[in-house]
Amino acid sequence: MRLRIVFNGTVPKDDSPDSVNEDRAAIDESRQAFTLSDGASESYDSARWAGLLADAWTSGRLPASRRGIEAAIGEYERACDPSSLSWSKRAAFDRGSYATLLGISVRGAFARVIAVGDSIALGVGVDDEIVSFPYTFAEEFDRRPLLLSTKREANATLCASTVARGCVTRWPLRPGTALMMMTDALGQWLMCQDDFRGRCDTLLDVRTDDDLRYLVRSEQTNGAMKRDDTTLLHLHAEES
Amino acid sequence: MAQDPRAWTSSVDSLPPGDRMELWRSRVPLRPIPVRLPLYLDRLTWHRALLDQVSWSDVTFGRCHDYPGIRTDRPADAGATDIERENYNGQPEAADLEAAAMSQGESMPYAAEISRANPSCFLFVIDQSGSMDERMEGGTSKAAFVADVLNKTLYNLITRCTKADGCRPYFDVGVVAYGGNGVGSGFEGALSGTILHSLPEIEKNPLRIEERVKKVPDGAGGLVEQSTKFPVWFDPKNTGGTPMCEAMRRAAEVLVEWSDSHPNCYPATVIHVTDGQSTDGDPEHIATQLRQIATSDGQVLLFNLHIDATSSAPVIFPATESALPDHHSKALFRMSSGFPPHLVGAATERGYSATGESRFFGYKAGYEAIVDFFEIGTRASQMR
Repeated sequence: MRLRIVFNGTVPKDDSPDSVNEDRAAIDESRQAFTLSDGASESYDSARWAGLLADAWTSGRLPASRRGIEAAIGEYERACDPSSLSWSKRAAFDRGSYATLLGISVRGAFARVIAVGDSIALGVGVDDEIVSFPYTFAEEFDRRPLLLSTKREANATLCASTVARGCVTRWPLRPGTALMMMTDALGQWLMCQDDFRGRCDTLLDVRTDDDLRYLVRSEQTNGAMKRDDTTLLHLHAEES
Repeated sequence: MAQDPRAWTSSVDSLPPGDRMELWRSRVPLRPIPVRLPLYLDRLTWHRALLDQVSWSDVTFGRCHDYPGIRTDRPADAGATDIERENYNGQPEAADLEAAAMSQGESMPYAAEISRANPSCFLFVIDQSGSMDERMEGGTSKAAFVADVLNKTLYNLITRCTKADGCRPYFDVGVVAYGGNGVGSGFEGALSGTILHSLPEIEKNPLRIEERVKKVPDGAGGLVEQSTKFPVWFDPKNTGGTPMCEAMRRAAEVLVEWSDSHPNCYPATVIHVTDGQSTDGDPEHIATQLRQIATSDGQVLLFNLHIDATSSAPVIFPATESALPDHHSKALFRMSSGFPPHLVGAATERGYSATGESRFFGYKAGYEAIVDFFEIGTRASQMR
C-alpha cells in the first residue's frame, strides 16, 4: 500500500503580516513518511524546533528516540547560537521551545502512527471504522500535553520506555482508507460536538487552501474553533 | 454523500455581501455602542466623579448590564428599573443595547485573547513608605523583598513574551509607587516619564543588568551553576507616610485611559502591595470605583497583598475576613476582587485552596507566597 496526498494546507492564527505560523509539515512521498509538528506559542523559537522535528522524523532520523532527540536539540542550539543573544532572548531561549510530533509512515499494509502531544491522526475506513490517535474526546485537549522540548530534562518523561510505547499505534490500510493529520485546534473542533460525522465529512472534502481558510475563519468567528495555527494533511491509501 | 465544505455556515454568511450588510444594519443600532459591559456610568462622567470625589447620587447613570461572573458593586441608590429605562443623549434604550450586544455575540468575561494587537495591562501599586524598612524573615527589609519580587516578575513576563524575533508587546506594564515622596511612577531613568509602558520598552530600559549565578538541571539528574544576566528596574525605597488613597486615585486615572483606548482587550490587573494603614483617608471607596473600570471583556481585577511582620498566621486567598486580625487587613480584603475563575487552576497547582468565593488577597505572606501571588496574578489566559 502507499499513501497519496489529497490535501496539505495550513492557515495561520491570524492574517497580520508579522504573524508567524508555527506549524510545520514535512513529506517524503518516496519514503512514504508524513510528519506534522505544532510549535507551542509560549516558546522561544518553536517554528524552528517544529521544522527540525518534522524534517528529522520524515528523513528517518527518529527524533522520538533519546539519541534522535539529542541530535535535533544539538542542531537547534547551533542554529540559535545562544552566546550571541540579548539578555531577554537568552532567558527565553533557556526556557526552551516546545512542539508536538505526529508522524505516519507506511509499513507494507499498515500505517505506523507516532504521536507526541495533541496533534491528531484520524483514520477513516480503518477496519470499517473511524479511529483517532492519540485523543478520542474533545476534553483531552484541555489537559496539558506532553511535548518535545529543546530542554533535555523536559524530555525525560517522554523517553521513559512505557510512555514512548504509548505514543505509537498501527492501523491496517486498504485501498480507499483515508488518513488525516491535523493540529489541535482542528482536532478539538472535530471531536467536540455531536456532529462528529458531519465535521469529519467536511474535513474530507477540503481540497484547496481557500476551502481550509474559509472553514477555519468562519468557525473561529463563530467561536467554535480555537484561534490558533491550523494545519491539515489528508492522505489516501491505494495499491502501490 | 459528501457535504459541501461550506454547508454548515449560517444563512447569514451565505447571503451576498450587500444583503448581509442590510441585515446587520437592521439588527444593530446605527449609533456605536460606547461600552458593552458593566459600566454603570458613561466613562467621562465616571472619570470626573472619581476625580472630584462627588457622591454617587450626583452621577448620571448611562446603562447597566449584569453579567454572570462579574461582581457588580452596584451603588445602593441605583435602582435597576431606573437604569434600564435610562435613555441618555438619544442612545438606544437598554433593551436595544442588550439585543445589539447579543447580536454581536456575547462572550464570557476574562476570555479575550491577548495578542500584539490586543494587549492587556498589569499595574503594580507599591507602598514605599517608611515602615517598609521593617525586616522580614531572613533579615531582608520588606522594601527589598518587594523590589526583588517585582524585578523577577518583570523578568518572567518579558521572558514569556520574547521569541526569536524579539519581545512582543502583549502587555502594557506600569508601577505606581507611593510613600514620603508622594505618588508617581515607580520606574526610574528612561521609563520615569509616564506610568505605563509596553513590554518591549521595559525590556530595553532596565536600570542595570547584573551578572548572577543560578543552578540549572544538567540533563542527567544533577545541577550545574550557570552565569546569567539579570536586569534590575527597581531598587528598594522606604520613606515617609502611606498616601494609599492618592495612589489608588492615580491608578484609576491611568486605567480609565488605558481601558478607553483598549475597549475590547482583556481588562487590566492591579497588584497592590502594602504593609499597612493609609495615612490620607479610607481607600475602600476609591478601590470600589477602581474595580468598576471595565473593558468589554470584564472589570479591572484588583489584587491586594498585605505584608506584615507580626506573629499572626498567614491568610492567603480567604473567602471571609473572619481570620484577619485587624481593621487594615479587613479593609484590604474588602478592597480585593473576587478570585477570577480562570486563575483558580493556577492557584490550585501551587497548593492554595482558592474557590469562587475567595478574594484575591493575601495577608502576611512569606517569600514563597509573595512570589506565588505575583506569579498567579500575572498569569493571563489566552495569550497568543
